[in-house]
Parts: sequence; C-alpha cells; structure tokens
Amino acid sequence: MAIVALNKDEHRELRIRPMASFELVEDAHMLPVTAYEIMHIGADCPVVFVKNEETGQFRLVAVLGLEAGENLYVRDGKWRAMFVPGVIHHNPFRLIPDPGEPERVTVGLDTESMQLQEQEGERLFDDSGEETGFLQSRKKALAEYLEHEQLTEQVVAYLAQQELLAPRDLRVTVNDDEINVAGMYTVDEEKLAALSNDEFGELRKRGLLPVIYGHLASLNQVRRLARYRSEA
Amino acid sequence: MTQSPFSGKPLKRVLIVGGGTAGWLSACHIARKLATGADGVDVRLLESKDIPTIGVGEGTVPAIRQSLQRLGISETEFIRECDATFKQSIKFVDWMKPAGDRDYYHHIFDYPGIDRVDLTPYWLMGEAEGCDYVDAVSVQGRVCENGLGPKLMTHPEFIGATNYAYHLDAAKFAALLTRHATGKLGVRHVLGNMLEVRLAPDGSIRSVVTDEHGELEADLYVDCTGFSSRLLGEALDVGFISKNDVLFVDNALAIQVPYGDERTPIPCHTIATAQDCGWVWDIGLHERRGTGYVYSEKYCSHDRAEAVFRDYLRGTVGDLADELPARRIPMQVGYRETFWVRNCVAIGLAQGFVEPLEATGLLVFDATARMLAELFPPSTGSMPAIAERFNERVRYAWDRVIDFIKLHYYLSDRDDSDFWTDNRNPLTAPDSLLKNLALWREQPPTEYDFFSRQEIFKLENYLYVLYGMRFPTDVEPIRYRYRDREAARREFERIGSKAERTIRELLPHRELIDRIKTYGLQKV
Repeated sequence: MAIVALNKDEHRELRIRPMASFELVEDAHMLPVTAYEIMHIGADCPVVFVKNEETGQFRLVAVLGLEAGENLYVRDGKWRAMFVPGVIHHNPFRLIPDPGEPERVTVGLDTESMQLQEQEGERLFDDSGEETGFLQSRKKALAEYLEHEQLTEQVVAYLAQQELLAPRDLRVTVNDDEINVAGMYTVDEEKLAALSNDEFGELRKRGLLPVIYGHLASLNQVRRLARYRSEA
Repeated sequence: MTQSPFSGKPLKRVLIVGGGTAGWLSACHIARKLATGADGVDVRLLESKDIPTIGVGEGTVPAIRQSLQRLGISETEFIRECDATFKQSIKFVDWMKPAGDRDYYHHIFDYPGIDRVDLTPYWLMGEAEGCDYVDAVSVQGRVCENGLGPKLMTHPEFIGATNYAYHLDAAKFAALLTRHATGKLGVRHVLGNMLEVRLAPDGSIRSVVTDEHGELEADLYVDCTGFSSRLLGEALDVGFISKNDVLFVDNALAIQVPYGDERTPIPCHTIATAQDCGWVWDIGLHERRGTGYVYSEKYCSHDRAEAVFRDYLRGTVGDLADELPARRIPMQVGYRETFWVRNCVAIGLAQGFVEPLEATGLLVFDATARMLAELFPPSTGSMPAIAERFNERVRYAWDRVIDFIKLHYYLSDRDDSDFWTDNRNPLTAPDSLLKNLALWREQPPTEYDFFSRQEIFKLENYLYVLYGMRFPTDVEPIRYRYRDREAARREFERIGSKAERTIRELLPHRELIDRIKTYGLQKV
C-alpha cells in the first residue's frame, strides 16, 4: 500500500472505479468498525472488542475469520454479507495527517489500489482542477466516518472504564473440530445486569444501549463463521 | 446463647503515629479491611510536618501487586505517580570470586519450572549442559539480561508474561498512599508534632499529646515513627535486639543519580554489587537512578566507604560521580523484643530493620501491616491473645529474613577482607541456617523445609540464591532417585525455546513504561 496526499495537479486525470474492491481485505480476519455500524454488520458477523497490540487500548472489530489470514466473507472477489464496512467502502481513500500541518487531516490516496484507472470510472477533478461531485461526496463520507471513529473510541473507552468488558473466547465447532478464537472481549452480561438504575440510565443517556445490544446479538453470528468455514 | 470468652470494650479507634510508607501502608490496610465511617473503625494518622521520612526503600517483591490490588490502587495510576518501573530480579554481582565469564547471578521472581518435572536435581547432575541454574529453569534471567519488561500492552493490570514487582520512589509512593487513604478509604489525616506519650496506670498508652491538636486518644496505637520508635521503644520501654553480630552492615550512603538522557535503557532488575565491606544497590526508576552503598562501620571508615561508592558510580556517570550529593543513614539492624505490647503495635523501622538486600524493608512493613489488619481484635478483651500471636509470627518472620540475608554472605567464597572472612565464619551464622545448609548438602531443599504459609522467603528464593552461588549439593549418592532424565532434558529444551520466543515478544523496559504512561493498561 502506498498512501499519498491527494493533489489536484498530480491526480487531475485520475479515475476511480467506484465499486468497492475486496482484494485488500481478503486476508483480514478482523476489520475495525464504528459503533454506528454495529446494527448493520452485526447481522452478518460477530462484532467484538480486541486490544491494540501497540497501545493496549480496546478497539471495536468485526470478526471475519477464525484465524489470522482468513476472511470467510470474501469469496471469488465478492463480499458475502449485506453490509460493507466503511473501512472497505472508503478505499482507495483514507484520511491521513496533513504533511504540512500534522495536527490536521487531509485526504490520502492508495496509489497501488486496483480501483485506480485512467480510462473509465469517476474523475476526481475536472479539467480546470475543481473537485468533482464524486470526490466531494467521498470526502464528506470520510469526514463523517472520522467523526464516527472518534465517537466510537470514546464509547469503547467508556465501557472499559466502567469495567463492563470481560475476556471471552469465541468457541465454535467446525466438522467436529472445536475451534477457539482467543484474545477477544465482550460486554459482560452479568455485570450489565448488576448495574444500578442510575448506572444503567447513564448508558441509556449516552446512547450506548443500541451499541451494547447490537454487539451482544452479533455474537450469535459466530455460527455463520463456522458454516462458512465448513463450506470452505 | 454462649458468652464470648473475652470481655472488653469494642476496639474502634486507631491512631497511627508516623507518615512514612509504613504509616500509610498500615492506615490503608486497616481502613480497607475494617471499613471506616459512622459504624466502622475510626482511623487517624498523625504526621509530623517537621520530621522527614527516611524514604529510600525503593525495591519491592511481587506480593506488592496483591497489596495494591487489595487496596484498590490501579497499576496504571501507581506507575504514573510513583516514578515506578518493573523489577523482575535482583542481579547479584561479585558476590563470588569470578568463575568463567560470569561474575553475577540472578534471583528472579518467576518460579522455577517444577510442574512437569523437578529440574533442580537434574541440573545438579549436569543435564542442562553447563547452563546457569536460573537459565536452565526459567526464561526470566534472559529477559532481564535483554533489558525487557515483564509484560505486553495487551496484558491487564497486575498480570505479566513473567512474575514481577516494582521499583518506586518511596516519597511519591507515600504521597499516593496518603491520597488514597484519605480520599477513598476514609482515613483522617492529622498534621502535627507529637509532644508526649501519656500512659495509663496499667502501663498502656492513654493518649498522645500534640502541639496543634491537643490530646489524641485511641484504643490502639500504631507506632510508625521509624528508628526512634517513640511509642513502643521510648514510652513503653521495649528493648531492641541487635543482629549486628550476624549481619554486619550498619550504615547506608544514598545518592540519586540522573540519567544521561531520557532514552537511557532502564534495567528491569535491582543490581546489588558486592564491595569489600558491603554492597551497592542500583535501582533504575523512570526519572532517575536510586543508588546506595550499604557498609559496615566496623570494617571500613565513612570516608573510605564514600570513595568506594563514588568509584562504583564513576563506571556509569564519569566525573559526575564526585559532584552528586550523598546522604548517610545510620542503620540499626535487628528488631524489638516484642512488637505488640498492650495497646501499641510497631510497624516499619520502629519494629525492625535489616539491610535492604532482598527489598525486605517495604516487604516486611507491608506483610506485617496486613497481618495487623487481618488479626485486628474486635474488642480489648481478645487483644492480649492476638498480640501474643502477632509477636510470635512477626518474630518468626524476622528470624527467617535474617537467615536468608545471611545466606548471601555465608555462601560467598570471597576472602579479600575481614568483612567477608568474618561473614563466612559459622560462628556468625544462625543455627537455623546452618542446620538447613547441612541438610541441603545432601539433597536439594524441598517445600517441606518451608512450612509456614506466611513464610517470607520460600523454596524458590533459596533455590536461586543457593545454586546461583554454586552451593555444592552432592546428588551423586542419590542419583538412583532421579530417573526422568529424558523428561528433564525435554523440559530444559522447552524452556530454552520459550526464552527465545519470549524475548522476541517483549518490549524494552523503558519503552513499556513510556507506553503505559501514555495509554494506560486495561483492568481486564
């Protein structure tokens, strides 16, 4: 992957194949998702909390495979779920620190993406160097996603701080083999049930109930992972 | 209904005198265990604004993790506020004459691998192919030598890949305990000087008179006034049993050493380097090093001691070694004749002290403060029986600590000064130690040699020191007992490859501390 800041001179002629492509995530057994996506992606696959190895901080991820390097939701280049997480959808764009002002973000482009074209697809700039409607709408989506990511960080940090997360292995049986996926954390239902009315009210006020229940319901999708694995 | 065998009035008011680490640890343990508030125990701590604390106890042992957890102090908060670093071992340098290329051994905190097969006899029979004892039975010596921390960022608070304790700034630790005790545990902080201790006709303490708060009364007084032991020693006239005939060191010179720059690697172990009349401690905190020379005045003048110490420091900081200010602390080695008399208990230096070779300062303060909180009498009626029990247990603990510290000197083969030759003289060693060593010449120690659950130093501690110091247990005559050689060899190999893996995974110690300061650790 080679990410560069988007530049109207360098990328004037560039075209993008707008359809999402899944090569990049073929080997990803987990993908980061936002709290806003739980209700959608949670109907397709388990959404759990894992720790970032560098920082130890919790992140919200969709579980797409039963071991590293395995994504059971991509087959023959197609996505086998109803919902495509934003992190895939935004390719080949992503927000990166502005090379001039590191505190600000700017739009970056993966110059090795298969979506980059010269002949067909959507242009990013018109001949005079103005941003096209296509680019503008993608930038808007990126900005909105960044906001969602930041809010998700706060949500996850709050759940951790309230000590509502607990380690839990995902256990599935595939063709009589027991598979155990470790290193995951889920909301502890016993602790949730033991909250006082005030504490529970606080979760409601913060809008966390859909996130918590969306996450808990998504755990049933582990059976889908088992089925996909047994078909593979 | 049966009557309680003890009569007496409920014990609800505790006054702790002294605001050093021992005082605040006692306050925290008592308040945490017994609960404060309207229907609980009233815990007050009297701290003098004018008497400085000794504040050099910077090393701990793994039991501190349990204590912090029990007191409800988060590991992240503790590391951020106490300038703390991790400690996985004590590295003893020059305690033996050099042999081969090694002039040191590690006393690590990980248990030796004994679950699958007890490796010690096989190591003694040479099955580990010349590998040092510590490296044959555990990965942790190599983790230390590689400068790595004991855990990953993904480990929850208080859990690591290896067993660990901390190095800490004692003054900052006391400050954290103060905030915790007063803010969260309901301990009342009284700032003032103690003028007088008043006794009741039966010889118990009736009150403590202060300059700014008048007369303070309590049902139980905890003496944490340091070496001066103003309540137990002075007011109640309990004598001091010196152990200077066993452990010779009686002075410490302490120097705080700055790091060259903020990227200087921090060792993840205490370094204890033997000198001709004592030894130097060298502890890497996050912001600075804490170092000290512990020596015996009987064998070496103060001037000579300071010269030896500064020579040691010159090895790492060059001429700066001559400019850093030193503080000398005279030490009384030994313990009080009793520790709990009537309504007064001593914790900390007021109770007893030995040189800080195995981080015994904080260790014994913490263990006995906890013992006090756990045994705390419900009423004055049961106090004498509980005091008797406490005295017996604490005396036993100190005697075992002294045995263990003496072991480090007694097993040495150094003969370069009277300090060392006298230390190796059996007449200066406790009988209990000599008896154990006689047994262990014929077979390795077992768990049954350490029968008390509250034993401070246990089998594993002895194994690392004994065989780190090449103690000659002769297993030849009992070779027939050890028939799992294949299993032992496989286990030695497994530990070897586990060490390689562990070293690849763990972070450099300083980087780990930096990351914890930035991101914090999770509770789960």
